[in-house]
Amino acid sequence: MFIRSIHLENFRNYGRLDLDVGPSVNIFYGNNAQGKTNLVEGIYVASSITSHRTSKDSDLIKFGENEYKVSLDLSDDDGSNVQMSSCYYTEKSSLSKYSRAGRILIRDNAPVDKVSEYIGVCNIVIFAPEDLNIVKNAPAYRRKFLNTLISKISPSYFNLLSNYSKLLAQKNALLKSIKSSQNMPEMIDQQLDFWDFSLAELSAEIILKRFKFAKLISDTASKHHGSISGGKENLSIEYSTVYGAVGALEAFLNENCKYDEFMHKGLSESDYGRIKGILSDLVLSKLKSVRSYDIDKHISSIGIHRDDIIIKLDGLAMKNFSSQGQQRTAALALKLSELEIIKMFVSSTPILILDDVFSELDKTRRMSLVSAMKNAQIFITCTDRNMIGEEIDVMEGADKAEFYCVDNGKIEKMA
Amino acid sequence: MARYSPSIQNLIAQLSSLPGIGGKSAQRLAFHILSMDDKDAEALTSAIMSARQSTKRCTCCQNFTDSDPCPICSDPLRDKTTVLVVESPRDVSTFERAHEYKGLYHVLHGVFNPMKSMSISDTTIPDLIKRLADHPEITEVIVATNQTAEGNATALYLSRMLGPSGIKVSRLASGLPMGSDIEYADDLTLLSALKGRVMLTGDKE
Repeated sequence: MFIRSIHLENFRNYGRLDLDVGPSVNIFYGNNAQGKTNLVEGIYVASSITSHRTSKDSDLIKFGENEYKVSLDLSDDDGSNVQMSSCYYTEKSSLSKYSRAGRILIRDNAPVDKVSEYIGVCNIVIFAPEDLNIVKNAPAYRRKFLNTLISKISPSYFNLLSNYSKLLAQKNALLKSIKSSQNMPEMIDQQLDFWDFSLAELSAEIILKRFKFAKLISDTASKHHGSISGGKENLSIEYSTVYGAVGALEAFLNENCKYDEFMHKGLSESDYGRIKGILSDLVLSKLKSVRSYDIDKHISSIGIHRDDIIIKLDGLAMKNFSSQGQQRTAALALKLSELEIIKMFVSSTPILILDDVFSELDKTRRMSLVSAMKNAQIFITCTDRNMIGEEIDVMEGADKAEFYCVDNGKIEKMA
Repeated sequence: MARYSPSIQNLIAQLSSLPGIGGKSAQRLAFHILSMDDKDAEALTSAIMSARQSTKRCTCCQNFTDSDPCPICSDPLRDKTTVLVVESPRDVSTFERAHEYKGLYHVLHGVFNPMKSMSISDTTIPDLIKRLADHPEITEVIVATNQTAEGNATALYLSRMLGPSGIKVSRLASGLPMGSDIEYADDLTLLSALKGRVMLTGDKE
């Protein structure tokens, strides 16, 4: 899949931008703070709805404006054309066309109600300085990494997550209300049961998906990490969730010799039902064991909303024991594994964005990044076009590379 | 700066609080009511009042009814062993329109929703549990709540609560609408249709 043209309206520092881009390598260069990252952020938002830099839609609107719109014209591998737009309206915008504030998604001129029907259409993998957060920052960043990857491949996973967060919000509202109302204790138990039954059921399905993808990421990322670092260190990833769940799942798979079946073609319906039952019973009993604590604190203290993936280097957690350079290598390996996994499951080629990454990597790492990118449309931002000459030469389609100069929100195509 | 006299304003405000009625429609309705004959306007108000006064909830199925128990619950030809659980009285009339379901109903009057301050006792779930205990002839409960996160939670809750009693609990199938093209189905509907597929040959259980 590749982008034919990009349209931004009131997005970050762009008032209006209509830009045709080439099907292979596109290089945006210019001084700092001119809008290079904003442009690629626009591309990412149009395909994936959320930004890789902020979780607030209102941050993306140009100062003094009330709404933004980003659109892409795309051509798929089979030659069919798609148009995707993501718009965000605030309360203040003059709503002529749509009656409500918030996000509107449009695909081929028709509004799309379900986010899950929008995000899988065009897959973009972005390499940015923010990737470092996955390794060194809070678990939320790693959950986001995992969730984004699985959602792109499996729309039903996105639905599971959104159902889970809806029910969790209901349960939390209930937990908050217990202090104020004088409910009978048995009534509280009954009401919490109501939500815990469903939360446990959804948790089981989410755990099964996350476990599988964490394993896939671990395998592919350690391979990439080995080739980048010269095999000196060993990267591994462990999925961490509700206590005991991973152990129960592994025990089930090993006992029944279903490990390969689970990883590759998927369990049979009866096996899936059995392990789902085991996991949901386990989660339910854990939820019940912390119930009185949760009531006192008015929070849901355990559950898959607290999941994490532990990134380890030679068996030690990287969050605590690693240098900046090791973290950067691990982040790069994780992103390369994201790219590989998307290619494994999705037929159309993902689009790549390299946002200012070359300046942070040494030569071997730059080369291994570049060599992983084949047959894809690539967007690169950098401060000086001459600085990345060597890497461009190695890339496929380098002869068709197009250069654009970015200067204060204006983009000019250069020869 | 009131554009209308206070009594008209009040009428508009009352009408616009109804579901599906916005400010503009409320204005139109208000002026239509003002221009109606006295006779017609009285018929309208008395219809509202008598509906409010004479309908009550059936003590058995909790549906709105003029007589208690309601015509469905007191119909001797109905299958008393099956109860279909629905969210609202409107769902009962939807099922009745199809003339195919012959069992009884239970109306929940909403789903448990703490975010909208709906507690479990605002629904008729406790009444359902009591009804099943009082009527051992009921052997199957069909849960027909909406296909939302809350509707599914209600279904699962009922199945967990009723599991030990030996009462069969089933959930309406979800998937493709009749006469539809598979091409236009969204991913989730398709997935749910695949999961709930029906065996045509071979072992049926």
